[in-house]
Amino acid sequence: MSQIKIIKNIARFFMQYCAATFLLCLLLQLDAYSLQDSLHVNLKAKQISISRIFKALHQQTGFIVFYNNGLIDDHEKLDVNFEHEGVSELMSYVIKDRNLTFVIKGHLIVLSKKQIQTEPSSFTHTQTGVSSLGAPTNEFQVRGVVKTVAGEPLAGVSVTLKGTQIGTSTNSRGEYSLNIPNGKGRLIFSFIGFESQEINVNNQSTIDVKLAVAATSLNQIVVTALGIRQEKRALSYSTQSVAPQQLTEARELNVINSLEGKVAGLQISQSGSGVGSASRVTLRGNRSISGDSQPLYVIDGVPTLGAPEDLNPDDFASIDVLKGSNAAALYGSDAQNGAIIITTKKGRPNQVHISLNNTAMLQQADLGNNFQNIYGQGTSGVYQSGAAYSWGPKMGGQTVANWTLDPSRAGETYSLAPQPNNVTDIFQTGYSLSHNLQVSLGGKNTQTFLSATSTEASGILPNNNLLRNSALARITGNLSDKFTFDTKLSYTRQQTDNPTRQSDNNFNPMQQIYTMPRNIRSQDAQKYEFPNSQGVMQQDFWAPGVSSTAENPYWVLNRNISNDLLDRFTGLVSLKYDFTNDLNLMIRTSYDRIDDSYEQKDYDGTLVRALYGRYTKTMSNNYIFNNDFLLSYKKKFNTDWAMDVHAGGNSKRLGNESLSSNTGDALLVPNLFSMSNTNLPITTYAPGSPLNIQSLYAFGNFSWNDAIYFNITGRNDWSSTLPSNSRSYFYPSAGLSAILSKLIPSFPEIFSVAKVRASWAKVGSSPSPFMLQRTASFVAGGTNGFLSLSNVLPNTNLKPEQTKSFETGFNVGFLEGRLGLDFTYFKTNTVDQLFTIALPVGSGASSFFTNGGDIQNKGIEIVLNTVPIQTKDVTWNLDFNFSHIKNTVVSISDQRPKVAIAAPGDQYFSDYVIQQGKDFGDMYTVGFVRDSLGRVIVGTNGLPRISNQRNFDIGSYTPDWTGSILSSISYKSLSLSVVIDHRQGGVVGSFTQANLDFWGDSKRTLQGRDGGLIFGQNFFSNYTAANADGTPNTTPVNAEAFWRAVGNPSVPVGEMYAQNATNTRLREVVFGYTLPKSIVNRLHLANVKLSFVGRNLFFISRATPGLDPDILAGTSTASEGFSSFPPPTTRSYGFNLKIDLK
Amino acid sequence: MNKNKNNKLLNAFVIAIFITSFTGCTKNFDKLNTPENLITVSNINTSTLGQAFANSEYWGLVGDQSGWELMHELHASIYSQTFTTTSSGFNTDQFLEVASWVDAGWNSFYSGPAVTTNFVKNYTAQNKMVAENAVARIWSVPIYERMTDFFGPIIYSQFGNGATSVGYDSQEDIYSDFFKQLDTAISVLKQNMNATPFGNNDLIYQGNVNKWIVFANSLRLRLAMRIVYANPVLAQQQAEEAVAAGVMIDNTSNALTLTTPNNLNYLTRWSYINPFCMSATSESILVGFQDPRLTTFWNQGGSRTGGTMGFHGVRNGLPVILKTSALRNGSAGCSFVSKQFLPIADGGANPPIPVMTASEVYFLRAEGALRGWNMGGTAEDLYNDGITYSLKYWTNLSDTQIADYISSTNTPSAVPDGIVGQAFNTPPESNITVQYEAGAGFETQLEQIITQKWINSFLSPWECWAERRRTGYPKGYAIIASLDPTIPVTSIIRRMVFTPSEYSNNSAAVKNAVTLLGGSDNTMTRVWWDKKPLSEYPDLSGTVIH
Repeated sequence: MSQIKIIKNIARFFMQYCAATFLLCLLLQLDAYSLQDSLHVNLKAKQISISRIFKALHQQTGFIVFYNNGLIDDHEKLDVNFEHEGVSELMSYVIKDRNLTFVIKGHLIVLSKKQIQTEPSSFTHTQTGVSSLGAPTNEFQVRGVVKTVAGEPLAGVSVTLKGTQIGTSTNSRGEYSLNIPNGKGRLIFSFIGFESQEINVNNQSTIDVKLAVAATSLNQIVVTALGIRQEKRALSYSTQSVAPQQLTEARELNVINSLEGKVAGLQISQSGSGVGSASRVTLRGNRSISGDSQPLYVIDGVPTLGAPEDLNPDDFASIDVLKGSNAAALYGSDAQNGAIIITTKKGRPNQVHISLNNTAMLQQADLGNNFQNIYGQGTSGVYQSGAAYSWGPKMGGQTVANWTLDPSRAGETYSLAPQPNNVTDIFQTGYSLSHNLQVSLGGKNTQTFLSATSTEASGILPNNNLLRNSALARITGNLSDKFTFDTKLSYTRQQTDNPTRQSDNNFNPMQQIYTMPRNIRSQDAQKYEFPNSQGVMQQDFWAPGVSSTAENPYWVLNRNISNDLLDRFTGLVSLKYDFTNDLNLMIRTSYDRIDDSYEQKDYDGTLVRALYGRYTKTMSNNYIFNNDFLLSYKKKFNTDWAMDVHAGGNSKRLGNESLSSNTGDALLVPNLFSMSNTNLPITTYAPGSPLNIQSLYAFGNFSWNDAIYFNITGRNDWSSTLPSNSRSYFYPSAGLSAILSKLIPSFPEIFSVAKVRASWAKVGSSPSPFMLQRTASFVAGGTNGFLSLSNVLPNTNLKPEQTKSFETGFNVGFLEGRLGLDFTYFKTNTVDQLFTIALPVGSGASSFFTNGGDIQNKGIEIVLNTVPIQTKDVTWNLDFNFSHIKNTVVSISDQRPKVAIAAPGDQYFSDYVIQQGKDFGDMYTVGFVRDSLGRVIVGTNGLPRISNQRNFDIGSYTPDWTGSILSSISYKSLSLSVVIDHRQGGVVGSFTQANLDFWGDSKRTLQGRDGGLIFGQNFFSNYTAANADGTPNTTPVNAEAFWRAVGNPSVPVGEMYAQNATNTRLREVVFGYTLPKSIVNRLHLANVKLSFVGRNLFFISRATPGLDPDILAGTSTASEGFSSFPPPTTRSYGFNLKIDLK
Repeated sequence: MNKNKNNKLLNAFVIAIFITSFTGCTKNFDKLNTPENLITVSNINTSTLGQAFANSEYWGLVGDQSGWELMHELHASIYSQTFTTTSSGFNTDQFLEVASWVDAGWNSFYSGPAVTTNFVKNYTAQNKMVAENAVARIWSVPIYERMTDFFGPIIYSQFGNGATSVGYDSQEDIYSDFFKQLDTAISVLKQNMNATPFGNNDLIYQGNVNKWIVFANSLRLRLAMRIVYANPVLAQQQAEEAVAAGVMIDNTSNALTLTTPNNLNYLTRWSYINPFCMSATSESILVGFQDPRLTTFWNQGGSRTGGTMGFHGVRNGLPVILKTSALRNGSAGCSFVSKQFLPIADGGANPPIPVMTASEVYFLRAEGALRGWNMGGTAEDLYNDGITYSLKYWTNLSDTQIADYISSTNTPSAVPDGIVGQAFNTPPESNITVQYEAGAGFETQLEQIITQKWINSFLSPWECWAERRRTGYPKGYAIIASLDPTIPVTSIIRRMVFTPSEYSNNSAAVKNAVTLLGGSDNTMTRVWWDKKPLSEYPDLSGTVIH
C-alpha cells in the first residue's frame, strides 16, 4: 500500500515540477529584456561621499562593496556623472589616485589597499608594475601572474617584499612586476579571502603564484549579534557557519537536524514524536538547572520564539552559530546558551532571479532491537492467550486458542509459531516531498523576494503525516538616498497527523509495538476491533487490563488519533536613516506568533481513560514582540585606527495563552467526538506567562591596522519577573584579537596566518513569571467550587541569574592555506541560578524558587580545515570538528547540595540529578543492595535484592567527546560530500530494554528459561553475589523470575540498563551533479544541480546494538539520556533538484 | 521625496515606537507579573475561604485524583480483602510494595488537602473565626488519622514549617493530640451554637455546628477503640466520655461528603477500569450471610457493567499467571462493583462519600460494651443497632426484613471453584453467624462486630484495613502467593513504608521517624496502636494454597 502511495506522490511531484518549470521558463522569456541593463549604473551627483556612491551602486546593481574601516576617507567628496556605465568603470573612477584596488567576486566588490604599509611615516607610492623607489644600481625585476587555484587571474593581490615597504598589487589580469634590491628576499602574496603565500625570490625573474581559498576562513564574513556583519578575523570568540545549501540539499523536516556533525560543540538530540518532531539543541553543554540550556534563535537580527522545526531552510541566506555567551552577550538574557543566527534572503536590485528547489526523500526504520523468537505468550512456560508476557512455552507450531475477544471468533485456534516480523510489519516506508519556488524581483528602489515552500511527509508509522506550507515575502528598498527600509512577512501552516506520543504511555505506539508477545501474528493484531452487542466497535487485544498502559498497537495507531495544526506568522519592519555617512539610526519592530490547535480522539474501547470515547481539544498561542532602535556611528581616526560604536534599546514582550477542553470521564454517544457529547466537559484556561524585558545597550569595535581588534559591550536589562529592587541588571563583555602574523614581522614562515583571541563576558537572566507570589487556583467542585493552593513557595528576594564566560583560542593557517586550525578553550560559570529546590512536602510546599549554584562548563573545540587536493579540476576539502565538554556542578545551594529534575515521562526509571561536585545531570536509578564488601546481596529466593531508593549513579548522557569528519570533493561538475560523526561515551538509561526483558521479549531472556541461573556465577559473573549471611550465592533462578524482578517497569533496576552511547555513524552523503552550461543554456535555464542525498545511512559502529542515543523522549534537559520507547532511527535517502531559472 | 518630509516621517515613527515600548519603562511590571486567572494567596478572604475548606473536605481522605487508586485500590482495599487485584502489573496484592506509588500517595495528601487545611486553620486563627477554626481542627483529625494509620509516625505538628527539614511525630503523640484537638474544638463550638461555619461550602454538614460536635465525639470513639491494645486506660476513658457527650445515634447525623459530577465519589471515578474485582473474602461473607448488601455493593459476573453469571470473588494474591484477560474483562464470571458505583455514563448514582456513619458508631460501642465499658447498652443490642443502621443506610429493607437478617444464623460460605480455573482450597472464611453470639467467647463476639463493621465500611477501605490489623478480622484468607520471600502468605501487611522522596528530600527527619516507629522501615513493622498479641490472631494456615 505505502509503496504505491510513494510512487503516486513521486509522480505527482514530477508533474508539479514540470508544470512549474514550464511556466517559469515562459515567464523568464518575457522578462529577459528587462535584465539587459541590470549591471549598469546611472549616477549623477556633486560632492558625494564614497560610501554614498557605494550605496547607490548597491541599490542599483546589488553589488556590495566590502572594505575595512579606515580604508577610505569618507569626508572627501567627489563629483560623479555616470550614465549607463559598467560597475568596474565606476569603481575605477572612485579609486583613482587613492592607492586602492578592487576585485569583483560574485556580488561582492572587495576593496583593498594597493600596497602594504607597515610604517605610515615611510609611505611609498607604488603603481602597478612600476616601483617608485629610487633606482639602486643592483635592482632586479620580478614579474609574474597571480591566479586562483582554479586558474582565474586575481586582481588586486598585494605583493610585498617581506620586511620592507616595497610592494605592489596585481592588475586586472593578475599581473605584477616589482623591483627588488639584489634579487633577494621573500615575496608575500596576500589577498582577502585567500591564504597568503610567501616565496623566496632567489634571483627568479618570473614568479607565478596560485592562491588558495583560505581554509581558515578568517576572511569570511559572519553575522554576529544584532545582525552586524563582521569579518571573522575581527572576532574575539569562535563561531561556525553552515552553508544554507547544505541544509536544503540534505534536507530534514526539522532543519536544525541538518546541523548535526557540522559544528563543533553543538549537540542535537531529537525527540520521538515522529515526522517534524522537535529537537534539543545545546551549545557547549548544559548550564542551567531549571532552564533548558538551549540556544536563542535569531532571525534577521530579532530573537524569535524558538521552535526552529518549522523554519524553511530555502529562505536562509546564512546560518551562523554563536557558541558562547561571549558571542551573544548583546542578546542578553536569552543568549546565555549561545545563539543561532539566521539571515533570510533578500531581493537584489535590478535583478530577477528565479529558482526551484525540489527534494524527495524516503525514510526507513532502522530497527536494531533484538527480539527473541523462541518462546511465546504466557507465563511459567505455559501458554496463555491473554498474557502480555512472552514467558510461555517454546513456539513449535502447536495449536493454541486465539486471543481474540471477538465473540464471533470464539474458539478459534492457531498455530503457535514465531513471528519474527510482527514488529517490523507495523512500520512503513516514510517519505517527504518538498518543493520551493523563489522569485527575486529587484527594482531600482524596491526589491522583492518571494518564496513559497510546500512540504509533505509521511512517517515510518502509519497515519503519521505532515503537511507544511510556508510563504515568505521580503521587500527592501530605499525611500530616499538616506532612508532605507526592510519589511518581511512570513507565514507557515503545518498540519501534523498523529504526532507520536512519547514515553511510558498507552498512546505511544512504540511501547505497544515493542511489547507484543513474540507469537502475535500481524494479521491477527491488525484485526484490532470487533463490534459489541450494541454494534459499537471495541478493541480486540490479547491482554486487556494486564497493565495500565497496554493496548493493541494497531488500535493505538488507528483509534487513538490526534491532529495538530500550527499557524506561524512573522512580521518585521525596519527603517534606517543615515544622518551622515558615519551616523545612522535603525528602528525596527517585529512580531512572531504561533497559534496551535490540537485535538485528540480516543475511541470507545480504548482501555484507559476513555469510557465510550473521549475528545480533547487544546488551542494555544504564543507570541514575541520586539521593538528596537540602534544608533551607529563609525569613525576613522587616522590611517591605522578605526572604530564603530553603537547604542541601542530593545523592548521585548512575550506572552501566551491556552484553552483546553475535554469530554471528561465519558462520552454519552460512543465515538461522537463533540465537546457537547458529555455531561461534564472539563475546560481549563491558562493565560500564560507574560514577560516584558526592556533593555539599553552599547557596544564598540576598535581596530588597529587590521591587526588588532578590540570590542566591548554593555547591556542593562529591566525584567518584569524580578522584584522591583533587583529588576535592573547590567552585564558587560570585552574581547581582543590579534593577527600575530601581521603584527610580528619575523613571524615564522610556516604560518600563512596566525591569530590569537580572548574574550570575557557576563550575561544576566531573569526568572519565569509569577515567582514572587504564592497563588491559589479555582476549580469546579462541591457547592461553590474548590480553591487549592499552589505548591511553590514564592521568593521575593530573587536576583538575576548570571553566566560568566571566558574563551580564548587561536587560528593558524599552514602550508599556504591548505591547512587551517581553529582552537578554542572556553570556561563558563553560571552562578546565582534561578531554580526550584524540592522541599519535603510536609513543609507545606513542594518546592521553592531560589538563586544559587555554580555550574561550570569547560571544554575545547578544535576545527581543522584541510585542502588535501586542489587542482584546476579537483578540490578536496577535508574538515574535522572536535569538541570536549565537561559540565561540573561546583555548588548548588546551602540548603540542598543535590537537586533532582523531573524527567517528563519518567515515573519509574531514574532521577536526573544535579549534585555538588559531580557532573551535570547524572542519572540515579534503583540498584542492587550491596553489603559492606560491595557484594550484591541475594535473597533466599536467589534473586538479587533491589534497593528501594534511587541511589545508584549510572552516569551522565554528556559524551566524553564528539567529533566529525566532513569531506567534500568536487571534480568539474561533480561533487561528493560525506559527514561522519562520532560520539565517545555518555550513558543512556534504557527503560525500553527493561520492558523488553520484563515481558520476556528480548534475546537475552532466552538464557536460563528452565532455571539454573546463579547470579554472580554462571549468570552476570561480573557481579559478586552473596547471601545475607555472607556466603556465596548458590541459589539458581530461572530467567523469568530474574528478569521480571530486574526489569519490572515499576521499579527497573537501572544499573542493569545503563547503555554506552558511543557510536560512529555515517550522518550524511550528498552526491551532486551540476548540468553543463551547454545543456542548461539550451533549456533556457541558468543553473541546474541534481543531488543524491542520504541521511543517517548507518552506524559504522556502536557500543550498544539497537541504541540511537540521539533520539530521546523529549527536548527538556532531564529527557537527556532517558530512552523510553523512542521511535527507531530512520535512515533517509532521496534526491534534490535545484534549478535556477535565472 | 524631500528631506523635510523624510525627517517628519522618521520622527513620527521613532516617537511611535518609543511611546509604545520605552516610555514608563517598568510601570506595569508588577501587574504583568501577577497571574490573572489565579488568586494570590494573600488575597484569599472570607468569601473564598470556604472553597478552600471544601477542597480539603473532598480530597482530605484520598489526596488527589490518583490518591484513591494509589493508596486504597492498591493497598487498603486489598489488605482489607474487600477487593482483589486482577491487573498483572500490580503486585501489592502479592505483598510487593511499589515505593513510587506510596510516594505519590503521600505527596498527594501533603501537597494537596494538608496544605489547604493548614491554610484554613491558620487563617481562621488569625482572623478570630473561631467556629470555622474549630471545624477545621475536627476535620484535620480523620484525614491525619488515615495517614498515621498507614505509616505510623508521620509529619503532623511541624507540617507547613516551610523549611528543608520537617520532623515527624510519633503515632502515640499524634493520637494524643487528636483527642486534644477534638476537646478544644467541641468546647469552642458549644459556645458558638448559632454559627454556621463555612455555610453551604461545608460539604458534610453545611455549617451545622451541632452535627460537627456529634461527629467530633464519634471520631473520639473511633480513635479510642483504635488504641485499645496500646493504651486501654486512655481508650476506655475517651470512649466513655465520647458516648456520654453524645455520638451519632441515627443516619441523620452521618458524616457524608457531598458529591457532584464535578467531584465524584472516588469509586465512581475509578470503576470504569477494573484492575480489581470482588475478593473471595467478600464472597464468602456476603454470599454466606445471604447479605442484603451483596447486591448493594456487587454486580453479578459477566462483564464490567454486570452480567448473569452469579456472584463470584477471587482469592487475594493472585500470581500473574492466573490474572487472565477473562478475569479482567469479567467473562470468567467474577463480580465487579454494582451499578450505583459505576460511572454516571453507565447509570451510576455517584453516591455521597461516607466519612463516618451511625452504624460504625454502634459497632464501636458494641465493642466497648464487650470490653465492659459503659457504652449505654449491651454489646448485643448495640451490635444489632449497628446492623440496623447499616441496612437502613445501604438498602431499602423493611424493619421485618432487617429483623430477619439480624436473627439469621447464616455463616460464611465456601468459595466454589470456577473463577480462575483452578481448584483452590477455599473453605468458608469463618463460622460466625449474623446473629449475635452473646454466649460465645470474646474473640468470636469481637469477630462478629468487626466483620459487620467491615461490611458497612465498604467505601472506607482504610478503616477496614486498620481494623483488620488491629483485631485480625475479618479473618480473610492467606494470599495465594507472596512475592516477598520474607513475608508469609498468611500475613497481614502492617503498614506502608516511608517514601523515597522523603528519604531524598527530608532524610534526617525520616531517619528519626524510623526510630519513632520502633522497628525497621518495612511493611511488617507494626504501628504504635497495633499491639494485639499475634497469638490471638486467627490462624490462616488452613487456607494456604500449596
